[in-house]
Amino acid sequence: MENLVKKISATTTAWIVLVLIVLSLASLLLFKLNLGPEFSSARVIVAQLDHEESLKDIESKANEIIRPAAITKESTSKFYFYFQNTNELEITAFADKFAEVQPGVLTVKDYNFSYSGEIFIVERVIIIAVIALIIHLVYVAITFKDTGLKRMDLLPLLSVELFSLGIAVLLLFGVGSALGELGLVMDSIYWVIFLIAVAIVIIFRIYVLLRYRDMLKKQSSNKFVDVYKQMFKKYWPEFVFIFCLAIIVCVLPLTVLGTKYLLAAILVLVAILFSIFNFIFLERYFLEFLQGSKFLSEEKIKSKSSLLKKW
Amino acid sequence: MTKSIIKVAFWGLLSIVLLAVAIPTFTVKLGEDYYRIRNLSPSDFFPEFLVQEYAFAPSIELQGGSIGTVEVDMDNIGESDQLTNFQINRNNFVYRLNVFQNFLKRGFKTLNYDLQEAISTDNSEYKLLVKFPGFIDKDRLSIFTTPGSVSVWVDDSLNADPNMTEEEKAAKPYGLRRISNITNEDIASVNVVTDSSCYYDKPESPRNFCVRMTFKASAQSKFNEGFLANPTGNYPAILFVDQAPVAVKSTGQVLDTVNPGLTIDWYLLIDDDYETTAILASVLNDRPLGDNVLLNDFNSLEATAGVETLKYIEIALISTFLVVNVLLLVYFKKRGWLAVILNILFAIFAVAIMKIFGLVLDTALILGGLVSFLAFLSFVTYMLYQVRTAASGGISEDEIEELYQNTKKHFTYLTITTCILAFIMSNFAPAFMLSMFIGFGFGIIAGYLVLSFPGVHLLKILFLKSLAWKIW
Repeated sequence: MENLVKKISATTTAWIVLVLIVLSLASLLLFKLNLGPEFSSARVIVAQLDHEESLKDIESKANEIIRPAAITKESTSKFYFYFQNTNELEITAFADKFAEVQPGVLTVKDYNFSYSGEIFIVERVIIIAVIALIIHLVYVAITFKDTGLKRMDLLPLLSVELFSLGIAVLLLFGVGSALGELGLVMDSIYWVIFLIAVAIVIIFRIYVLLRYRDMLKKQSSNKFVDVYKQMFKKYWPEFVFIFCLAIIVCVLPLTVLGTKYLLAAILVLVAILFSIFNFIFLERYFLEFLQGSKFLSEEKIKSKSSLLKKW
Repeated sequence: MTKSIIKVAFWGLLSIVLLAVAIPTFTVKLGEDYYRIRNLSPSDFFPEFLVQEYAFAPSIELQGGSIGTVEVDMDNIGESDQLTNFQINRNNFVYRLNVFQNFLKRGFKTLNYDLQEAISTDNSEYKLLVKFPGFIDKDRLSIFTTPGSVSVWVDDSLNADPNMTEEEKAAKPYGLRRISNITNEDIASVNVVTDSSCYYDKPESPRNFCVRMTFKASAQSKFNEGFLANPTGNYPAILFVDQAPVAVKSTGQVLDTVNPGLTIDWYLLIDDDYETTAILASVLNDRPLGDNVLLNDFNSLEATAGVETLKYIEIALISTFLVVNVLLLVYFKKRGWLAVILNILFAIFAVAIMKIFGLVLDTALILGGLVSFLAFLSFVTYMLYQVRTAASGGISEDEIEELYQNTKKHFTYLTITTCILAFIMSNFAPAFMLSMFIGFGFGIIAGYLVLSFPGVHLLKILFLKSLAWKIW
């Protein structure tokens, strides 16, 4: 494993991260978020048939004309087709074409559609994200209590957390918007899978922290990178095992949710891959960078003696 | 060690009870007979208990439900006023549903609904699509779409013509009563109450559930004039909703120290059950709907994630659980049994607790539960690795205890963090996020219970006792 680490230098890692950040931002700016009808207004076409049809058959016929964002079935013969980012002409064309390809259509009507109830979703999610981040950082700080660290030593460790989580979330948004461009509709299940991907990154972070803590207690070295290298050398098989468990636990059940959510499972894989990359390269080099920077040197913060006290 | 075995036996017994709660309902065929196996429920022991069964609440996503199409008829509304009229009616309708939802919560029941708007301004069609998981009675839903205009007929016998014959009195539809000027606007709040003073003429037979109506302070004069001006007691006030009599004023005394002289209890003339009373109370809780609001269609709704999805999810979850445990056994060999037992306990505890709380079984809850399983697995793996490393040169009970406490301490931190976050989530999270977090939170709490109580005893027995037994 050490040989693998040596193959990719700090500079290469930095470039990879930079490229990932740029690609994610570009994807977000270009493709935006393909939010489902639950989160943004849509058009709905309601078709009433004179006989029973299965949702699956109707779905395949509709997809041949224009792929709707979602289809639901009421009773045995009434179908709702939800469309987004679709103009008036396309809606009319779909209604006409559907009446042609589907026998027994009694009525086809279209409506402007919106969900009632949930408001200020983005604002509420931002509040939750900020508070959750603060709670996570407090959790990290508590984990390192009584390990012989000084208060100022927490700063690079907390920076690593912020850096890792920040990039992970940005990357997931970037991949998500690219998947949205491929036709993945970001409905509530998609966002749940997105949250699972974030949770996986956090669970790995917690495992790394626990092992890092164990190593800190055993080591006399006060250099973060040395401790990290020791930890990596000793415990990497554990991480491989945890990665395997994560793939089984979080990806396998998603495969039964249908093809559209199979595409969303890519997010979970991205989260696992990022966690591996973070564990092997990014965290180590970032700690190295922080250790070498003058920012967090003892001389620089000598005036703030409280930071030099034991944590 | 003996103490540990006794504790393991206790937790084993508790686990069996929780397993009986957690098992799904299924049918087996033995010979010619079919037997329905279902989980343990409170009704098995206490038939009158408030919660009758421990079960997941259904979700539209996985089990489907019912859909009602509520149409706001705009035939007599000018084109420019149609949208405003629709919005007012929608808000009142949503308010009624939310009030009903809150009443149900107090009765330890849940009602989740989706409300969607479908508008075609060109055709002046304004519809509300209201979706409920599982089955909901159409007649009950139709009550929500009644206007809900309140009128109250009060005692007027003192002002009656003294020359009126008994026949003339009997011919009057509501006896010697007159309509008061009380309207919906005068009502401050309406609640469902269980109060022994809520009876009509027989104090010994009160209703189980009544409606308590509190009037606004600004309606004090109307209240006095309506209920206190002619208190002969011969003609108790009658409550009408949309011209239909639904309740008479309870003859028992109401004690309301917060709003003295502004509260009355209504003895209802409808079924004496919590839900029916709650529906009426929620209709009375707000301004009336327009009489152009109609429930014009009511149908079943197919599971939005697919009819078979729940079955596939069950198979996938069982497969995942098996694969994970096989992997643990392959990797940790005999020591892996500890993890397997802890995982089984985790699954039993998590499902049982979720069922006891009647959580809504949707995809978000399941996936949240899965993430908590991954977190639990990580800690169990962490503990196993520590034990494996420490045990390579022999291990004492104290060392085992220390390793165990180290893992438990960090899992406790995670549980505390989750609880704090749960508080934030319950205030801010959108429904899907909350459902996922509930799944995660309940899973973490189940993990904490497993690690805190049976875990340590299992660890000692499986590692120390088994060393003496020379199992490993």
